[in-house]
Amino acid sequence: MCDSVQSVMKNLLTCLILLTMICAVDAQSRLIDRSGTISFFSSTPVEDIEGINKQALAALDTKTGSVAVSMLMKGFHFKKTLMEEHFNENYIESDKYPKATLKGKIENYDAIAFLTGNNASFTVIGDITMHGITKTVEVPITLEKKGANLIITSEFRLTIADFDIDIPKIMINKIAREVIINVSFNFKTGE
Amino acid sequence: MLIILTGGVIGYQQYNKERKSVAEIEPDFVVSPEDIVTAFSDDEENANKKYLGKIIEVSGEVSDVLGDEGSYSLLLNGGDFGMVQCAFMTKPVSEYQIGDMVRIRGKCSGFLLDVILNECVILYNQ
Repeated sequence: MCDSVQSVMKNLLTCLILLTMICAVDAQSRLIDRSGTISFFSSTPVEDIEGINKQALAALDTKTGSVAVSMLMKGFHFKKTLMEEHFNENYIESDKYPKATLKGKIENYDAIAFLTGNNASFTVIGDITMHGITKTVEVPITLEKKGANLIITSEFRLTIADFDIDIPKIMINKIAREVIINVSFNFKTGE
Repeated sequence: MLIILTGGVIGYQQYNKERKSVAEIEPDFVVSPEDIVTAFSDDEENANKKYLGKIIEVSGEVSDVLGDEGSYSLLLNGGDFGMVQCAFMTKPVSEYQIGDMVRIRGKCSGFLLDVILNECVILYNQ
């Protein structure tokens, strides 16, 4: 008799906790970070080049797991001013194509698993649009919780030629065919 | 031989040239945060044609402070349609808080949720 009352209470408590979490999810369904960091790294025996953008924008819908990232190409900074000029004027043509975007969704998204996970890995499937070209990608992401901060990081590779980016023959040995992209966003959940 | 040498030196200097400070360059536009935000939210394509890559000077009220050393931005109130995000390469000497009035010069990178200015500098008493 006592046992079944206890198990009912336990179930009720679990239900209550879950309900509260679902409500919490609802309250802050759309998380935004305006100052995410996105960098790309090209490494060749001749030279290493890195471009870093610290004003990347990401919106994450915690109800559906949909993800939207956008950044301004002119926001990428390089150590060498001339490289930055070449990047904007010749390679990425940022006057013509000012933004790069990623629109996608976390695979097999489960709101509770996502919000309660720590050091958990997920996959985002989506479209990257850059330099006028759209490509479907699968991007691995890692989720870390630090207090009220939801930190999402990722590292993956992109092939420059896939986006119709032409590297002049003189520079071919200085720029890698594949670049390593590093992403870091910090969403404040305000808990 | 001399020509090749000179060419080499100029080439090397170009390749390693210093980034010119935005504070030293005359602005292409002096505009209020509201006006530039409205320009972009009304017609992004034309606003890009007008402002992209240009040096913009804005004065306004700080509505948010983001980041720290190496990643510092001041968001200026631009009305209902967004803000102007002013990104600094190095954190300014003075501490800024929400409500402070500032005058900033920076290079326009475009528009996401807000108009974004890069390589920003604070203009004091000018």
